[in-house]
Amino acid sequence: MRILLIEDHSRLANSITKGLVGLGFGVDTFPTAGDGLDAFKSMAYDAIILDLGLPDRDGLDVLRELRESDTSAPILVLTARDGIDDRVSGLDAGADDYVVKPFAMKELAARLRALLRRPGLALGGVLSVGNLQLQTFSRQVSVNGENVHFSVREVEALELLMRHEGQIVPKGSLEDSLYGLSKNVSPNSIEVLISRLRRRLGSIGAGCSIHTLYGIGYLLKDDTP
Amino acid sequence: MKPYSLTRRITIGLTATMLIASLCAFGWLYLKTEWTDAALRKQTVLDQARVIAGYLTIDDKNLVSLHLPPQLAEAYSNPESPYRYAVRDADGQYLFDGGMAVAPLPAFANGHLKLYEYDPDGPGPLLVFGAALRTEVGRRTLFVQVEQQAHDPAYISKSVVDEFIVDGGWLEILFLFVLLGVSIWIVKRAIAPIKKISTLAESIGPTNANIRLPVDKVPLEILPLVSAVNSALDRLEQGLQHQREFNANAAHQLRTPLSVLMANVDTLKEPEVASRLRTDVEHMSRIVSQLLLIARLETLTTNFDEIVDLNNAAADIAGSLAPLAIASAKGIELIRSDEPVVVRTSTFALKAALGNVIENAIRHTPEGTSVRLRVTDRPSIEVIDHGPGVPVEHRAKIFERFWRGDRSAGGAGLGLAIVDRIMKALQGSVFVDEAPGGGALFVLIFPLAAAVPSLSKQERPLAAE
Repeated sequence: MRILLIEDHSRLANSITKGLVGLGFGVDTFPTAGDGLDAFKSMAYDAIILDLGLPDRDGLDVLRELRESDTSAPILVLTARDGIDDRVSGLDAGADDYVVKPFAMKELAARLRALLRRPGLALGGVLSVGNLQLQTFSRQVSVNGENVHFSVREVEALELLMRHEGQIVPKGSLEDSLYGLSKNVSPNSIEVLISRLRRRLGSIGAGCSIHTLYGIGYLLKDDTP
Repeated sequence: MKPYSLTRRITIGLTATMLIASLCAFGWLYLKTEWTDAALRKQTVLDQARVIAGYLTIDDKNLVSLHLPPQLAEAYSNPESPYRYAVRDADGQYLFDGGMAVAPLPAFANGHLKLYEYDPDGPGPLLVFGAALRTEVGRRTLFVQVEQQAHDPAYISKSVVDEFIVDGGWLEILFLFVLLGVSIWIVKRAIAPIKKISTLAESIGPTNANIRLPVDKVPLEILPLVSAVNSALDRLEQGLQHQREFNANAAHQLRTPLSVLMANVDTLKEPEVASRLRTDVEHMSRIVSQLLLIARLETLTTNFDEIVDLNNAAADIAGSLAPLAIASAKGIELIRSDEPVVVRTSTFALKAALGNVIENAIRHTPEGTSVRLRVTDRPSIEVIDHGPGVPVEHRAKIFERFWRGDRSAGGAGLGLAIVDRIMKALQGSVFVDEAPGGGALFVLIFPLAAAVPSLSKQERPLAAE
C-alpha cells in the first residue's frame, strides 16, 4: 500500500514515514504542495496524508484540488488547529478524516487503517484486527488463518465493529445495519447478539474483545500487545 | 474621598443662593423706599418753609406779618394734617404758628438751612422731620420751621417685615421650592443617560470587550469622560486581542514539535523509557490543548443558537472518549432520560466542558470500574466516578485555574477551571458532590429550556439511537 505524505516539517515527516514503514506501508514524502501534487498525478496512491500548513499553498486549496481530481483515495488531514470551524471547513473541502497535532503514531495509523478499511479501498476486502480476519466478499471469518463459522448477522455485526476498530459503534448503527427499517426488532436483540459474539470470540481465541458502553455503543479493541 | 451626590450639592447651593438673593432683593427694595421717602420728605418740608418765608412781610415799624393764602392756612391748621409750621424771631420766640407745637429750633452752624429729625415721644411711633430756614425780612432775622409728622422708621421696618412675611414671603418660599424641584428634575434627567451607560459598562468583560459606551445621548460635560473610557476600552481590547493571539499562537506553535517528540518517543527501543516519556509528552500535549481551548473560549460569544438534546450530545462526547477509558481498563456508561432534554447551547463549548469532566472522571475512577453519565430533565448531566471523591474543603477550589488536588494525577489543572468558565458562559453551573457509595459526582446544570422554542414531535431528536 502506498501512502502519499505531504508534510513540510522534515523531522515530523521523517518520524511519520518511519512509523508507517514500520507498520508495512510504503510512504512517499514531499515537503511542498507542488511536489506532492506532481507525485499524486503520476502515481496511484492508496491514501493521502496532507498537512494543512504548507509553505507554498493553502492546505485547504490543495485539499480541494486533490478531491476534484476524482480520486477514490481517502485523504487524512494533519492540522495544528482543532477549532470547530477548521474541522468543518476541512471536512467540507473533502477530507475523509483529520488528526490534530500532536498525535501518537498509533492513532495516526489507526485512523489511516480505518479509512483504508472502507468498502472498495485497500483494506476493505480483508478486515483484520489482531489475529482475527474477515473476508468481506466471501463473508469468511478466520482466527490465525483458521476459518470459523459465524452466522450472517454475527458477521454483519463483526464487520461493522472491525471497520471501526477502536472506535464507538453506536447501538443505533448496528440496528440499522442488521435490521434495516424492519420494525419488529426486539429491544434487546442487539445485546443478545453482541453477548453471543463476545462469547464466541473468546472461545475461538480471537485477540480482540468487544466492550459494551451502556447507553453509548460498542467498541472492538485489538488486545494484541 | 467619599463620593458626593450631584443632586445634593445642587440642592444645597441653590437653596443658599435663593435665600441670599431674596434677602438682598427685599433689603434693597426696603432701603430704596426709605431713601426715596426721606429725600421726598426733606424736599417737601424745605419747599414749604420757603413758601411760608415768601409770605412774610415787614412794615416800617419793624413789625412782621404773615399772610398765608386761606387754603394753605387751612391745611396747616387742620389737626389731621401731618404738616405744621412755626415762625420764630431771632430769639426763638414764636411769632406765628399753625396751632400746633413744633420742635425746638435746631442749632444753625452756618448757612441758612437746617434739616432735622425730632422724636417727640421717645421710642414711640411718632417721628418728626423738619426743615428750619433762616431768612432776613427787612432788617430782622426770622426762622421758619416746617415739620412733617411721620412714623418712626423702626416701626415702619417692622411693618415692612410683617408685610414681607404675610404677603410676599410665602410666595418667595413657594417659588424657591418650585425652583429646587425643577432643578433636581433637570439634574436627574440629565444624569439618566449616565446611569444607563453605567449599567452597560458593568456588563463589559473579557468576553465582550468590543462593547463601547454610546456617546449620542451623553451630556456635553460628561462626553470627555465617556470618550476617554471608550478609548481606554479600545486600548484594552487591543491588548486582550494581542494576548489571546499570543496564547493561541504559542500553543499552536508548540503542537508540531510535540508531534515530532511523540513520534520519536514511539520509535524508542526501550519500552519502559518510551512509556514514561509518552506520559510526559501526553501531559504536555494536554496542557497545550487546554491553553488553546482557553484562548478560544475567551472569544466565545454568548449567543447560542444550537439546539441540542443532552442525551445525544452526551452519547457523542462519551463515545469519543470511550477509547481513552477502555485503553486504561475503565468504562463509560450513559443513562438517558426518558424524554429528550433539549437545551440551547454551543456544541463546541458543551463538548469542551463535558469532555473535561469525563476525562477527569476517567482519570480518577479505579481500573475495572465505569464512569457513569446521567442525563436528567433538570436539565443537567451528572458524571459519577468510583474514585476517592473530592474532600468537602476542596470542592470549591477545584474549579480554580491551575489548582490541583493531587499533583501526581497528571492533569493540567486547567480542565475544571475551563468547565466552570464554560458553564457560566452557558448560563449554567457546575458543582461537585459526593456520589452515593463514594466517588465524585459532578453536576453540570444547564439553563432551563424555557427560552428554547419547543420542537414539534417530528423535529425532536430521537431519545435513543
